[in-house]
Parts: sequence; structure tokens; C-alpha cells
Amino acid sequence: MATETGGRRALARPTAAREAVSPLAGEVARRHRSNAGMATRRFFRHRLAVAGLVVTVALISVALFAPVIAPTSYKDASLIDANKFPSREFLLGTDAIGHDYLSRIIYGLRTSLLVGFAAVAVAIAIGIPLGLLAGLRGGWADFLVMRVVEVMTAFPGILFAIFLVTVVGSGVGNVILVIGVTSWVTLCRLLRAQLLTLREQEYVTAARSIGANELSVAVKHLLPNALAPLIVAVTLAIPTAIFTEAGLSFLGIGINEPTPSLGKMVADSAQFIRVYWHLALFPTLAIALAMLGFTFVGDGLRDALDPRQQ
Amino acid sequence: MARYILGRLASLVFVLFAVSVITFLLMHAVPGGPFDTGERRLPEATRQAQLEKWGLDGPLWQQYLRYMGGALRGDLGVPFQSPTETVGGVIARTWPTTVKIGLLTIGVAYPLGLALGFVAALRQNTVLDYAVSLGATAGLIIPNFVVAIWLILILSVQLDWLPTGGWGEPSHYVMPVLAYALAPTALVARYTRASLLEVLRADYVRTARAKGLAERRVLGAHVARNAAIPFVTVLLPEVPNILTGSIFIEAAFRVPGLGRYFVTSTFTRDYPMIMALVLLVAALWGITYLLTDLLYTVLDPRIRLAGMPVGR
Repeated sequence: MATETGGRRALARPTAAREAVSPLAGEVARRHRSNAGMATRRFFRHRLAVAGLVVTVALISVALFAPVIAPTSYKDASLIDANKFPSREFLLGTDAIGHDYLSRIIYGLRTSLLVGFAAVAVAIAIGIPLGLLAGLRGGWADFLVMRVVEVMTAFPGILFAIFLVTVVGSGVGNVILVIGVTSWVTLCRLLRAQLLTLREQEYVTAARSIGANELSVAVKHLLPNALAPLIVAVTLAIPTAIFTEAGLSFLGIGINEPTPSLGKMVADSAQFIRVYWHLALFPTLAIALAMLGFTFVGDGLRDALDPRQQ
Repeated sequence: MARYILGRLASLVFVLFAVSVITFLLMHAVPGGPFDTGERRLPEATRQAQLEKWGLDGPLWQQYLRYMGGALRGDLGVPFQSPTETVGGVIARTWPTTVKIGLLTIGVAYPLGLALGFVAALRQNTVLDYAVSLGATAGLIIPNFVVAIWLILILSVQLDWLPTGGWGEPSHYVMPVLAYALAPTALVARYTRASLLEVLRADYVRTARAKGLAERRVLGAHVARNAAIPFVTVLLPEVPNILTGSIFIEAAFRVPGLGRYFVTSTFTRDYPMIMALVLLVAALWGITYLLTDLLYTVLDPRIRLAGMPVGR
């Protein structure tokens, strides 16, 4: 229904020039664009999603250009300036060692986002192949993958992450690895479930009955249709990874000095909280902002890409 | 039905077995043992004697069998971090604190979330509804240790009403419970709202109204019962989560509960304690999932679980 309206609208547009070059390519490109166009329009109608997108883009830019934006390096400290409240000189104050707190937060954000994106990349690298294996192959492969998934879900996520970090040690690389290893299950299960449902659809049976082989059915029909929910799940996995990193560092087993981490800053602030409120407030605000931004984008994508599922 | 439950229990036992083996292997794969973490290195002879005393000599499979043999008879061993107690003793001493916070949290979160969800659904698309929905979304996303810090900043630092942390007096309960209750309240409110809205639109509700039933009876007899189904499946699994406590909440408010042992045990290579905690949590989750699925069939007789016979 929705595609039909989009198609008609696109037909009305004067695209004769392109069609003259290759009518078929024009047809495909146009349909593709109108679908994506509608999803984009649905996304931008969503006020929270747009706000989330603005916040997310701002945070990513701050993290990317940290060396340019931050007033000082995250390592610079002078004990004379320790424990200063926010002022014109130090916009967010300084911590107990005399770091400029704004710089620490900017670099902490950079750590958060780096861990968030990289950990999700690890989760994708594990979860997607296993999900494909289970969903397309079925049989023994499916049975084995699902038993692994079952055991993984019996370990409560954050506890497993704590446990693994003490096994492999702390530090940025290990934290990324641990979060990736503990969060692939969602992606794997989702992809498998999608593939199992899609396999039974009429158009897949139709493709098979006209002689399409399994590989082309998988590539042309199953994967593109499983993509939308997967994109949403991947987007929503980022704030979860950010949260896990902050949590591990809050407990003192995540990122090591001198790399700044928002979670560690929150933990360090606790003993001074009665006096130096700024040490506790700003990193918690940064964590909350990052979590909210990415989650709203994910929720908005869900509504935009899959309008049936509200 | 009995066969189905037996099958599920068998699969639970398999999962627990796998979890115990994996935990055991990972634990021992960690470089360094419980007697290598101190300030000074122990003399080799003493170290050997200690390893023998705690049953840490011999091949891994032997250690595993010895541990599981004891565990199945209810002997969970002695925690290395406080050798004067037993693992069972430590759990018995600290878990009640965690459970107390957990039960209070459930007591606050579920009724409050239910009420908020109800109000939001019945006043759909009003300012009230938007406020509840937005608040619920934020409550679910913002990490609870962040909320804990904000509570301390407002209630302790700014208003000076409550101590920043500690344990023993009733005033120590308030902030942990509030911080811990936010997420479940949000979850309950969200699901209550969604499932109520769906049920309110159902044909049988329109029929009930059309035949002139009082609104109270419509809501009580028709709406509430059907709206309870997603409630059970989504919210029951939250219970073990809440009862095993939040490590973050206990760390933020310095509560002497079970939570901190999850961190200290892996640090000190306290093998018996780690095993006990992991198995405790895994067992609680497994049992809750089973109960959830069973309750599901009771609430909605149309639902048949895979592997369940057709005529019960």
C-alpha cells in the first residue's frame, strides 16, 4: 500500500532524461529512493528522534574533534588548580588532581563512543554470521547456536561482563572485546527469528518454485527484508555498550588511567560529593545525554523503518 | 503438561551444568590464583600447602567434581576472602539486605507503574499521557547509578534531608529504593499503558460497553484480566533481577549487600564464591522463565507451548 503511493508520486516527477539512458536502472533507483525517502520523512516527523539525532551528531563531532575542542589535553594537570569550582577559566571546574574538567569530559565522551561503536562492531562480527548460520542452515547448526545462545542468556549480561573483564584484564581494548562478546546474542537471535519467519513467506516460496537457488533466495529476498530490524537493533546496541563501559568503569574495573572515562569520573567524584558537586554532576549528565541521544535515534529508526511495529 | 515441565527442568539442569563448567574453566584460566594477589609472594612450600588445603591441587576435572559433589550436598565451600565463614554463611548474611531493598523496590515500582500506566492509557494523548510516556522512556534509559548520584546531589547535598550512603537506619533505605525503582516503574508503566490501549480497542470491550455494563465492570472484568497477559511475561522476569540486587546501587550508596561480592570475588579469585553467585543467579533466572511460561498458559488458555501435548 505504502510503496504504491510512493511509486505513483515518483512517476509523476519528470525523470524522462534519466529514463532515456536506462529505463530499468531508473525504475529501480526511483523505487529505492522513494522507500528510503518515506522512511526519512517518518523519522523526521518524530520530534524526539530528531532531538536525539541532533544530540548524537553533536556528541560524535565533539568526540571526533576532541583535540581541537578541548581547552587542554586530558593529561594536563596542575595541583595548584585542583578542586576548582566552575569559573570562566575552567568552565566545568577542575578535579582533585587539577585536570580541566571540561577537557576530561570531552575525552571521556570520546572513550565512551569509541567503546560503544567498537563493541557493537565486535558484536556484529560474532552475532550476524552465527544468526545467518542458524537461520539459513537450520538443523544441527541451528541447534548448536541456540544452545550457546541459551547458555549466554543464563549469564546476566553485566555480571558476565564483570567476570570476563577480570579474566582478560581491564583497558580500552579488553573492555571493547568483553562488551562485544557479551552482547552479540541479541543480534544473533533477532536475525535468526527474522530469517525463520521470512523463509515461510509466499514470495520466498514463489522464488523457489521458479527455480531460484538457496543462495540467491538468501541474498535477494531474505537478507534485505531482515535488514530493517537489524539496523534498529544495532543502533540500540550502541547506548547499551556505552552504559556497560560506564558501569564497569564506575565499579573500577573498566578503563585504566590515564584514559578518561565518564563512569570512572562518577566513581571518583563520590567521596567529594558533599563539597565538589560539579565533579559528580557533569559526567553523569554526559552519560545520560549520550544514552538518551542514541536511544531516541534507535527508537525513531524503528518507527521509520518498520511502521507496522509501533 | 507434566512432561513439558520435566523437559524444561531438564533443559534448565543442562544450562546450569554448562554455566558451571564454563565459569569453572574461565575462573581457572585467569592468570594468578587466590594466593598470588597479596602484597608479598608466599614461599613456594607454603603456597603448595595452601593449595592442597583448599583442594586446588590436582587436575581441573578433579577439582570440578569435588566442588560440584560438595555443592550438590549443600556445601558451597569456604570463601577465600573471608576464610572464617562459609560461602553459604556469607550469602545468608548479605543477601537479606539485598532482598530487602529488592522487595521494597518491587513494592514501590509495580503499584506505581501500574497506576501511571493506567492513567496514561485512560487519558490517552493528553499532557498527562505524554509526561508519563516521556518519563518512562527516560527512566528506562538513564543508568541507575547516574540516577543514584542525582538523588544524592538533590536529597543529601542540596536539601540535606538524607545521608549520602551507609546502612542501618530507615533513612538509608530511601535513596537506594528510589534509584532502583525508577527503571522497573518505567517498564511497568510502559507495558501497562500499551497493553491497556490494545485491550480497550478490542471488540469484546466494545460489546461489553454496548450491552450496557458499567464502566467499572468493563475495566475490572474485561480489560484488567486481558491486559495482565503481557504484564506477566514481561515483568515476572524482572523479579530475579531485582532480588539479586544492583551492584551499582549498592556501590553508589555503600550498602553492604550481596552485590559487591560479584566484584570483589572476581578480583580476589575467590573461586567458591564466584561459582556460588553465578549459579545462584542463573538458577533464579531459569526458574523464573519457566514460571513465566507456565503462568502464560494459565492466563491465556489459547497459548500452547512448543512440545506441550494438545489435550492436557
